[in-house]
Amino acid sequence: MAASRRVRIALLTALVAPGCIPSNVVAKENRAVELDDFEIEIEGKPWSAPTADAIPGVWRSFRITGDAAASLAEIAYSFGQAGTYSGAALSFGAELPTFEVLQGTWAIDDRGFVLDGEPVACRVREGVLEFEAPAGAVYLRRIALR
Amino acid sequence: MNRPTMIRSILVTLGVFALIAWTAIGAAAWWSVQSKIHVTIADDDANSHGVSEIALLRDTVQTIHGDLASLRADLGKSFGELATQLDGAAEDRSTRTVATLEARLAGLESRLQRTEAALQSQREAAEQQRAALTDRLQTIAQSIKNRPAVLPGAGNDSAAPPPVTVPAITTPEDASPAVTSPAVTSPAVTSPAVTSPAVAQAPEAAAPLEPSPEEIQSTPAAPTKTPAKTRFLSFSIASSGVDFGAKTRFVVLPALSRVGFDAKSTLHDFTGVTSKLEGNLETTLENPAAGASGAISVDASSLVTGLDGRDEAMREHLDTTHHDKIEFRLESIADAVSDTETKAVRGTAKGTMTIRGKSNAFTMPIEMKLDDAQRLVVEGQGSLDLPDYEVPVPNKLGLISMNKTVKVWIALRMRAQRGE
Repeated sequence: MAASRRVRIALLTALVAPGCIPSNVVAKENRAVELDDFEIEIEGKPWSAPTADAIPGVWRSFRITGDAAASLAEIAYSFGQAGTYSGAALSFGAELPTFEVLQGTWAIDDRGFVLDGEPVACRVREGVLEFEAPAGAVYLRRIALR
Repeated sequence: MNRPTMIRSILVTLGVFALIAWTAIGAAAWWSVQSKIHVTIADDDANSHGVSEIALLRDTVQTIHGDLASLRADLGKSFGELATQLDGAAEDRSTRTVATLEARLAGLESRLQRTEAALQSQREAAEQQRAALTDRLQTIAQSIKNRPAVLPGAGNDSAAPPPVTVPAITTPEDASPAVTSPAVTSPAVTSPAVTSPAVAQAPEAAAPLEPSPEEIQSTPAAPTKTPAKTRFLSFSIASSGVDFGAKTRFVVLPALSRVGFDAKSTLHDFTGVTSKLEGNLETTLENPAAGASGAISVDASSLVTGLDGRDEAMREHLDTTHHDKIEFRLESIADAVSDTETKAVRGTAKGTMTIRGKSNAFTMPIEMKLDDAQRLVVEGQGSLDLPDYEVPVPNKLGLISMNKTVKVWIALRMRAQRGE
């Protein structure tokens, strides 16, 4: 009698339990992998013109747009206090991405931010630097060395 | 004469005298004013309005006339001010337009100069290459000419000299694509090593270029096949983004891609997803109907539905032990509509789907577009029946069963492969 009762309870549980599992269909608009939240975070934030104090440090790109994005996977700059910099770009290649490393100068004068003698559209907000050129724009995040 | 009679006579006399006096006064008055009176005979209507109405009308007309004159003066003044302001606005607009055009022109000139500089650099590099190759050819020819032929095996093999080695030649612009051919070796020549000097060492050089003997003989000055380059923040990049009109090979970015399926069952619906995949697509986005090929390969065992038990059952049904991949091989994109302005393409992907080792024709409407980072975003979905692929349809006790038709979807991001 007791065994029969246990079987009935188990059967009932087996039948009812799946009903407790909610539907988990991913909505069509949520199928794509979300991009870095930081990209969304910077939208609409206030920007300001760069100052000589805001530039020095190490910066690493987190977003590249425009034609340049078809060639460059990532860019990093190390801007020194004395107006020199070292930069590295990771370019898409036929097989593996390759690095291009260069050194140069930077300054801020009446033309704004000047990289290797050429004025470059630039603006900053806390922790983020944006450069814009005809071939695209790059957003860099200040990083702390470890 | 009695008294009453006398009084009556006096009164009569006075009455006659008063009548005569009144008449005389009246005649005198008539005489004095007769020259000043003009009699006008008018009809009844004129008499009813009277002269004052005309005067009022005249006054009103004069007032309106005055108002009109004032209005005309004000209008003239206003039009004058409006014309002045319009002239000023047009001048400002013209100034801004000219400034914009000047800025664009300056930008174009700057780009032109950079392009010219790049071309000049390429030209110089090509010249240097040509000269180096010519020198090398002459050196090799001279060395062969000066040495009597000593075939390998005819003499002491152990004394065979090292091969003729050709140093790497680098080009200034090919920072990314490394075009490499086998080094020139010539074991047949029993002479000391002939080494030509290094040439064309440009500052931006990245990849060695070692032409084969065939290349040396046939196309000694063949330029390196690299895409046009420009500068972006001092870095070398291709001069354009993804070319919609060129046949391009795209490679799936697994970290930014996801594929899955939606299934329906008696009690609840669920989705299985994975990002463990690889794939590629080769087509001309402007006209995919002209030809498209590619493939997507998914690690079947990596599909997850959110329930461990269900995942295990799914792997059993898919027999992932023996068939670890789910593959779709693209053969064409039909009914393609391409919009070069929005960089978007719609069409129907046609190909072969392979699940559990069983292949069937599969079609899927897809949408492709370039995002602002020049990635190709590919999205689409289609339906398939599990029995067509010999996948058992899950069923528990005959009560909880899964629909045999599942919706397969893709949400891919792909990157154009450079350096073709």
